[in-house]
Amino acid sequence: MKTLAAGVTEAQTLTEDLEVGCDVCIIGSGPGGAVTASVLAAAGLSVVVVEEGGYFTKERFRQREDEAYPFLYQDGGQRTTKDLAVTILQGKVMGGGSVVNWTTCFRTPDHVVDLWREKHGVSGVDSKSLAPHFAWAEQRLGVSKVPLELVNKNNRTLYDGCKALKYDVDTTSRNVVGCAQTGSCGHGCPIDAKQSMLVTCLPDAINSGAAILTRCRVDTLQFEGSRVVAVNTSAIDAFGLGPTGVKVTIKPRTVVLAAGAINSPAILLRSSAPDPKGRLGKRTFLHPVLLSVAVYKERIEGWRGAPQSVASHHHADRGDEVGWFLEAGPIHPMLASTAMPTFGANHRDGMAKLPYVAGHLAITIDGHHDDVEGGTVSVGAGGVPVLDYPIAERQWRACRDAQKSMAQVAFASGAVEVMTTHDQPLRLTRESDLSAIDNMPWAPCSVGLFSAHQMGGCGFSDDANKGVVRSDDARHHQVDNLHVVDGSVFPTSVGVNPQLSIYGLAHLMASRLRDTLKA
Amino acid sequence: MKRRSLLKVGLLGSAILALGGAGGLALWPGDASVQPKRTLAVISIADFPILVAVASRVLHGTTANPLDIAHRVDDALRFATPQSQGDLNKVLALLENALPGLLLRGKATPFTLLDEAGQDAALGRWRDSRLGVLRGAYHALRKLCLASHYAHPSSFVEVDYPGPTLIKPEPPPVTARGALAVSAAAVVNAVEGMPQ
Repeated sequence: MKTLAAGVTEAQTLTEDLEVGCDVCIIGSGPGGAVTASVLAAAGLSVVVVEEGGYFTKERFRQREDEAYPFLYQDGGQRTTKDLAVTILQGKVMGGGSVVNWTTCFRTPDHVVDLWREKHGVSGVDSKSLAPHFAWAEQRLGVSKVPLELVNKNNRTLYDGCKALKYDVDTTSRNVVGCAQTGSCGHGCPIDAKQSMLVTCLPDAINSGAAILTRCRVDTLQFEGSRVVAVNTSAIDAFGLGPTGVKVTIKPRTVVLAAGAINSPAILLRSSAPDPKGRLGKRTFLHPVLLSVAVYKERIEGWRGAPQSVASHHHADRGDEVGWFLEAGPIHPMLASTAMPTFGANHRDGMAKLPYVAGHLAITIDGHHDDVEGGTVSVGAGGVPVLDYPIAERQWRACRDAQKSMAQVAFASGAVEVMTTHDQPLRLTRESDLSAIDNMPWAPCSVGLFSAHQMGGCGFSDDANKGVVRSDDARHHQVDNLHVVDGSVFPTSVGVNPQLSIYGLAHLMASRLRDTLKA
Repeated sequence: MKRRSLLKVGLLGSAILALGGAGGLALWPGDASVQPKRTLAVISIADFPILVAVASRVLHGTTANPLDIAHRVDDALRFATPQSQGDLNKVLALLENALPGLLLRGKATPFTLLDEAGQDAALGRWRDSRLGVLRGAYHALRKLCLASHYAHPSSFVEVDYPGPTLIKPEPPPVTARGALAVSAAAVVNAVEGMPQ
């Protein structure tokens, strides 16, 4: 059987069908897939990475929202939950979410890993076993803490407000080297300062002989007995819209599914993968994000500098109530316009204040309470993923409380006006009016919510009744040569920005898989 | 809201959305005088004037040209799922369709024939509706129009945004099959007997 040549092949350019063999086919080139590819290729295994997104380099990253969202995000930036209540920002490009994320790095908190062990039957990973793999990722990706003097004004308002209220707050760590503070992390780094998979683990894998096939959509996994025998894919056009008609069939010894939350369960569902306990696609988490628009007298210019450099986890653990953490979000015209409520002249007037606006985010933590079970992925017409994500009453209470907390932070740092993102927004000019937030409608499509962190759907657990894959090696409970190595295996949300959690876990799982395959 | 009420709202929402797609139920036609400047990818020619009318209200007071916005929305929708594309056409038809307009707005006038205040009120009713499906439809239309304007460099001056800090040359246009068409033989190693 033929093998694919090392390097990047853009499948839209192929003119005839192709069948190739390899030791390991990795589906997805984001944080999970890229790390796994680099580890396995370095061990001498033949690796083919299949990626639905396109291959873009810094020449194409021009700090333009009208170019970035259509080509670098799922559904051209238009992915949402089924009821349209939550906008889902999720990467679809060679390098996956790492190409468009805002570079914030946290290790998985110990209490979250403990929760997985205590409630979700996870014995295969713990904080001690993960630690060296987080250290590896931090070293390889140049993760370092942001000095306070480099924090932009947008983030500085959050820092100052939290300090004034005596909230726990600190600068974050970022995976950048030589950052020029362009503020365009979400559009693909224009100078390759961000140490995304595109400039780190994928080149590492290629240098070790790996082949990467972009613009290649996995149609189905083909099963025989308890094994995957083929990965059936279609080449898609350079816009990422439709098949070119060329089919690529990959026949691997082992498959690593790393298409991320939402897409990994969707691939298994449309392949009719075994799911005897009905766990597939369940417990999909979003870290739903609520925005507070804070207006200051001085110019903030939230498009400049690192988009995220400050975080407060002061409210992350609220006992029986859902917790959240506070961060800032970049203020670019397009993203801001869709978050800014109302329409017509009122909207225009809000947009005119853009240079003076700080965007504070409350990122709510889902999956840590029994009645906050996240959403369910299914597949709709044409095998397209559909995420039904009902928001529990406990989450709405957290949104309401977080909105108040963000307003307090804004006023404590000098804001002259604070606005919610309700359809008919509440505009506050003094802290004494905070109770009005209680009277606002808290319901789907009544207030703006978005997600930048997608997790779960193929949860890991030693108990086949609870999880889709095993926790010691991420192997599918019913399929012998199928592993899932991405954020979809988390049995809860991680309660912090998830990229480092995925890098560390992937490096641990890939190391174990390498040892198994090389034995 | 009780589960039973939610269920009723959900069913009603689906029925209303289905009604939107039933163009034959319109009591009388709307304004069809607005024509696209070029071939449309997703939006139907019949629905295009409705989208132009929505864009003119959503972006009222800005420098946006509603016709250009409608074309950019159509361009953006190419990247949406087939389900979303179909839903958007239904939503536009529903907004315009006079019969659901009578049920939902109490007025049997197509959206494109309403005056500006009437169109704002119609959008406002969707925004404030008890039906999540209508609130969602309002946001879908609103966000598509806003994003199509504010992503474009022509809007930057309105919001005092300086634009990109690094000037890079215009890349070659993306074409469906890329710059090169590559035969399979060029990308495989001609090695037989590899992993089985």
